[in-house]
Amino acid sequence: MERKEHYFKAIFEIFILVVATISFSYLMHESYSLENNILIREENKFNSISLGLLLILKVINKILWDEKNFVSALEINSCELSKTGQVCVEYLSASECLDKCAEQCIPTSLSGVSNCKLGSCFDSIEGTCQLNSPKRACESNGGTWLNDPNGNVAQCKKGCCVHGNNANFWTERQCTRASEISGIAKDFRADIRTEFDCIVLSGAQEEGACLTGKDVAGKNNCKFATKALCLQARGEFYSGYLCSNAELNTNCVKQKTSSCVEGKDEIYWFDSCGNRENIYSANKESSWNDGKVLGKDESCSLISGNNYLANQGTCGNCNFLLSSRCGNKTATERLSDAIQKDVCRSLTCRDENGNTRQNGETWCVYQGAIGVDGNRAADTPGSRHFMRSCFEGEVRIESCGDYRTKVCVESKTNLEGGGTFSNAACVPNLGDLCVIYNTEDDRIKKCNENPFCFVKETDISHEFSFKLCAPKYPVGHNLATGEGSSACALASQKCTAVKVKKTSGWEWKANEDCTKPEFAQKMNNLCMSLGDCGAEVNYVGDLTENYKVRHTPRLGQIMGIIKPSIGIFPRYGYVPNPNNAYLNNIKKYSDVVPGQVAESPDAGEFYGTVGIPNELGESGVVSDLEKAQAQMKTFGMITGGAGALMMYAASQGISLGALSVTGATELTTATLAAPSVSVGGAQGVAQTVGPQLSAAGGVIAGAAIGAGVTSWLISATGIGAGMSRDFANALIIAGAIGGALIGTATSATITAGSTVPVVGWVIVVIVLVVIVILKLMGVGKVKEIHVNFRCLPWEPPRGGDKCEICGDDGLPCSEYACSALGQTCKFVNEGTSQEKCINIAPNDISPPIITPWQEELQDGLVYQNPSDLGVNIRSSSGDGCIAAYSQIKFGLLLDKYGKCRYSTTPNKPYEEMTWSETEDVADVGEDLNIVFQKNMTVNMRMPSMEMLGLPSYDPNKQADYTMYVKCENGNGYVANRDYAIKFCIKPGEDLTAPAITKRNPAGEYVKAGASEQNLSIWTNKPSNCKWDNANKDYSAMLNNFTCANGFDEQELFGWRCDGTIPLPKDETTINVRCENNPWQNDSTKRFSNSESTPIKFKKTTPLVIDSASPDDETLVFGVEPASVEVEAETSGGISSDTMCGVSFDNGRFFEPLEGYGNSHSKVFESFSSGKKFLMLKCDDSAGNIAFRNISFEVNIDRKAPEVTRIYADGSALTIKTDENADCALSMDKCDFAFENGTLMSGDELAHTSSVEMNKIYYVMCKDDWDNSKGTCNKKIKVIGGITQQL
Amino acid sequence: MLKPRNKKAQIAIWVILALVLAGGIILFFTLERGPILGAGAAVFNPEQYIEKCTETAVNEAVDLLLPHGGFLEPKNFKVYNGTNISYLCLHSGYFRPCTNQHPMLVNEVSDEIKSYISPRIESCFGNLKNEIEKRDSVIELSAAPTEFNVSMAPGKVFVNIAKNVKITEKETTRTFEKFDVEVANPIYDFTNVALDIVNSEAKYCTFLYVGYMLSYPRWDVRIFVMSDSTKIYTIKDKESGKKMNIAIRGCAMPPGMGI
Repeated sequence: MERKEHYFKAIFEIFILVVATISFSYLMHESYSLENNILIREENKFNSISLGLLLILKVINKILWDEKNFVSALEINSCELSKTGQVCVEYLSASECLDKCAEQCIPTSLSGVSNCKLGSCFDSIEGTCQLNSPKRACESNGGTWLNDPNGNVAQCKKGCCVHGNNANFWTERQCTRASEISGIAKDFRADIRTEFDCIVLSGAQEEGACLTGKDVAGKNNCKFATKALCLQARGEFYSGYLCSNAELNTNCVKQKTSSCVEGKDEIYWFDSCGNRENIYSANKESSWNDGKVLGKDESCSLISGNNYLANQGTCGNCNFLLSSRCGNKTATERLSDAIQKDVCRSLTCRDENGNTRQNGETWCVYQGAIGVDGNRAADTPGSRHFMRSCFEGEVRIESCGDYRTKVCVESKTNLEGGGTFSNAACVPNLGDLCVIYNTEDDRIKKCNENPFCFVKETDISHEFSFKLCAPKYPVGHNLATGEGSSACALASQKCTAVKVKKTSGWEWKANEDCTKPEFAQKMNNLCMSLGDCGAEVNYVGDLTENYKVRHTPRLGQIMGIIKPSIGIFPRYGYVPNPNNAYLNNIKKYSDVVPGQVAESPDAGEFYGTVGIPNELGESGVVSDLEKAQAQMKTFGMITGGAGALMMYAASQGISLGALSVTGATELTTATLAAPSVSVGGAQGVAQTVGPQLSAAGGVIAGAAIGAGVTSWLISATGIGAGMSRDFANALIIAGAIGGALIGTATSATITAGSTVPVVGWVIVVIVLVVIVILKLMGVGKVKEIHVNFRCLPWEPPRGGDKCEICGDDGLPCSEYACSALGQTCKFVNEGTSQEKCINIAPNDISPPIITPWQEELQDGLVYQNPSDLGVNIRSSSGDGCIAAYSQIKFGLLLDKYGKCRYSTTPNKPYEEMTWSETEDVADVGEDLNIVFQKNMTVNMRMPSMEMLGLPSYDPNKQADYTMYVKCENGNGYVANRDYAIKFCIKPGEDLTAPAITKRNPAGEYVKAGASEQNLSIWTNKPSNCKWDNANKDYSAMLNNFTCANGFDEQELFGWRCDGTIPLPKDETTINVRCENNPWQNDSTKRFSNSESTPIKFKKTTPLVIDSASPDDETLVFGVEPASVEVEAETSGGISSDTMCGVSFDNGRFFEPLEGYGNSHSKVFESFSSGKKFLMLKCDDSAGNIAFRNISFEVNIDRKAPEVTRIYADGSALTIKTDENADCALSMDKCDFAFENGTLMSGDELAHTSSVEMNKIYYVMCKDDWDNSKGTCNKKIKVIGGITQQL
Repeated sequence: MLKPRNKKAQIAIWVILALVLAGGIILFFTLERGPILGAGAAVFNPEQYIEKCTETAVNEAVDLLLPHGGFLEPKNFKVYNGTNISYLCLHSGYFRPCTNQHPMLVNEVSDEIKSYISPRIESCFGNLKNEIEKRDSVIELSAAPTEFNVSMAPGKVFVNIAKNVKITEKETTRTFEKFDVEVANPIYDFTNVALDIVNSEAKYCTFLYVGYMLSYPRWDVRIFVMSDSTKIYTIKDKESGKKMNIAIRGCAMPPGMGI
């Protein structure tokens, strides 16, 4: 028994030995890492308001990009025909639909209305094929609706229709129609598949002399024409001959005149009969070419090098595509032969810079710098992108979308003869997507891949740096209303700078750089990159600064003298000195950068990118830091597992110091015997070694305890944060030495009879004294400075002096451009020749008049004594006073657009009634609205009595609280007196428990197999919240949420609390209760929920893609590109919320399928022939994801069916084909029109029809895709029941 | 050189020539040209009268239709330069391509022309009646409303009128059952250009009008983009000088973040 006890003690001592070794390092680390713990915070994440905004953006994005969700989110109604005649419209509500629909409203999305399904509308008479046509619009007007919106159907297949001198890229039916009308034989070339080839063909028709009889003198009448026209006129066609050719014996004399020809570019010679001859050349003989047709390529050359008109005086070979065309001569442009009236006239243009532009050339024009300059977006508010084009000598201009909703992209092609040819286009600006990416896990990857985005790095300090995806060309917002400006708030961030009191004084520990001028600059770089936000210049160079910054200098200022300290900790203030370098750099963005263009992006795939993530992503940097933090914690748990044990032991040792020594002695004593027993009963050895080991154990244990206690004291007193690493180490080592000495002595007392050395205790006392002194000195005190940057929507300059310059730069004005020029600028007469940007209040010097807005006043409140000077807001019950802390709402009306601020100090200048740059208190001054409005709603919380300088414990106390409001008009005129809104505050305190206003996730379903779930709840007032599995009183609940309770931490939905809920079972229900007044120490003044809010979590089953099609099959089509419907069936997950997408590039981008629930499908219309590999991805809002790969082959059938066998049974003719087909018979001619033939019965491989004996029949077959030979397959005759092929 | 054998022969030849000439003149006026309406003219051609009258009505209709996007009174339109221009392709929301509102535009334009000229054709026949009666002739018109079809082809508008008209002039009676009028007018060609634009916008969200003009020099296409993303296309036929406006809205992007 004793042996066993000694064995245990020995093991324990060895354990201490090992553990102590490791724990020392941990203790040392922890002693100075305590200060680091202060530093590692959440500043480098987006602040919570931004988080909420991102969630909203995510929802909005989902709505905008996916109409299915739109339906479910807003209960959309569909209407087949609106009162205004619009076909197939969706309305956001049933009432709107009832109001606007001319017919019955259908409570579903348009995709659920069969009459509104989009397809191609084929006009069977005209042969036109109209894409993206609702079934109703097509069929109600006599069209044939085909179920493919992109026209990938046989009827819509186009070819080249040659008729007369023209060739058009038409459907076959259009060609037939033209033939029917003109009487010219149909000539449809199905093998010509592009419009360009067809146009080329139109100029390459066989031409020649057409002889149509003789005149009285016996000479041949001649017309120069195409072969087709000649044959139609029953003429005799001489291909490649001119009418003046002597061989033709005509009266026509060559080259009598020259002139232009309608529909042709060149100058032509004409003979005396008026027939067109060859292209004009001063070298007549060469041009006449012995009376034979001379091709354009063989004719004289107008061009030399890159001079397209080098031979203008002698050659009439004009080329429209090379900027010349036949036209009347001018003073400077004429042929050398003065008799000729026409000339190849130049169609080039001069651009805005005086450069020559070719006919058909397009190029981009901007109103300032564009794109990314270094690390920020440069497009200025009010600026747009434009595309100019040169056409027939005229420069034209097209405005890409207002608000920069479209970007002008340009590419240049080097020309063979030198010079370049620009091609430009206005393409949709996908900048919105960049901001949306920030809600996704792989945002940086996506950002880098989207040519409209760039990764905006904000690197202010080591602890405050992050990356955001931002648009290269931010889309502008409505400057008049502020609509669409919410993205600005993403750049509203709070950086917490930390100072720690050291023995040598206060020192920065984290985010010092946030207090420097660079903070505002770098944050403004982010701010302006998100849209029309922050400090920016409009496109004419007027700067306005629309941001707020607290505790750091504003832009254009540098830090001057730090104000002297007040008390222990200094106030942070700055004496601003001008430093306009930053602002000047911004101002330069209104200047056009020569040669700068937006490059043509390969953005096709992005236009279909609408995948919405289910969870908020993390930035790479944030993620890295968090990982680092997590790793550190993990490290602490592994090595510090023992350390924690030691800390625990040490903490016990404080209170049980004597016992610890005793206990240690006893343990040590017991330990001595154990090895002797365990080590083979070597008693002698044990007796020799035992005391030494025992002594060593005492030393180690004492040292560990001493170090642990010291470390704990450093931690508990908080002085660690203010100590250098070396000093903390020294203290811990001293404590360890003291402990070791005591431990040695204690061991010795038991085993060797030593006394307790005083030295050890002296050291320990000294260490304790030092700690106490440091504590008294305040070492380790921490001060946090919340450095805030608020990114506000950009607002135009006051007034409207510059309204009328809108358009002066030669670029058309617009609503957006006009509103950027001044607060009182208004764009009028849009869409007329009288479009103007006018100043609507040029002489308005009267500030807005404020009146109370009754409709916006919260129930239970009343306006009293309204006058020009103000109004009282009172509670409608009791004494009229409003309880402190209560949230109220009221409204103010202005008689004109204005912007208002308030202060709690009367008669303060308007400029000073603003967000304090140096104070944290909220009531110094603030904007009531951030854009000019005519009415505003004010939501505010009544201040506490303490804030008003009164005790709150006296229920009879009342205090007046007044908001002094001033408003400015669009010209910047402000009233010289306050509008006072007076309240009476009573200390009523907040007697009501908090209410939970929102939770995230909102639903109960969580990912399959999840072991825990992060939960956020928002309360309507600052609160502490707890949860428990059992429904208990708040005080009895075991688990706390982490709540943000600062007044300035209010988010969109209130105050936020976060927690992590373990999910041990498939279904877990927790109960949540909250308690108000978290700042109150007196529990009797805090009120908690009397009932719990149950929150249920239900694990979903894994999401599975049960089936997907097409998969492992071959699809045959008749036209290319082919339309393929991709379908997926899912199970598990949240079925009502499952979305699927398909990727054509191995998972880089997923095009969404339509449909929520278990069935998802979409028709993709651009498949070429070949093997296809697709990846399907389905996910739901619980985070379940499923993938599946599918593959299939697309075959395009371009082959006409072949007749494989022909036989007759009496008069019954049977024809067999090698593929499914329709066959027709004709007795007319081989190239009969299929529709005019007699259709044989049978549409598969066998086709039958009765025939007459001894008659010749022509057989023509065409397959399901209308492929046919274009002429008959066979010519046959049935003789006596036997088929004879002719 | 023809050499007459004697004088009789010469006279015979001249007589024959004179008879041929006289017969030709008579045939020319009776068969080829018929009677025409004119000041003091004794003969009257009702077909030509209706043709002229219908042509005027068709051209009027087209001149009214073209600026409004192919409709006389567009219901779903955008106001541009004080003119209501019909949306041929429209998606009121954002991002999505436009939806074809009038895929059978040719039919609808024909119907519009028909509705415009219908009362005018009745007037044409009314005026014809007055004109005939002024000449002391008798005209019988069927009392039923005039039935007619309007169809279009490149460069032409066909109006096929079915109307029983019986004109008794002195002792001659002529009856007419139909009047086929062919009006030279580019409305069909305009309609097809408009449909090309719509197809391109519906499929690609854009119409490359510069390339189109280079390919088809007959047409001059201009675009005006309004602040709500509505595009007004003005198509000009360089041959006739006429202009057509159409409105299209699709693939619109919201200002700012769309909130």
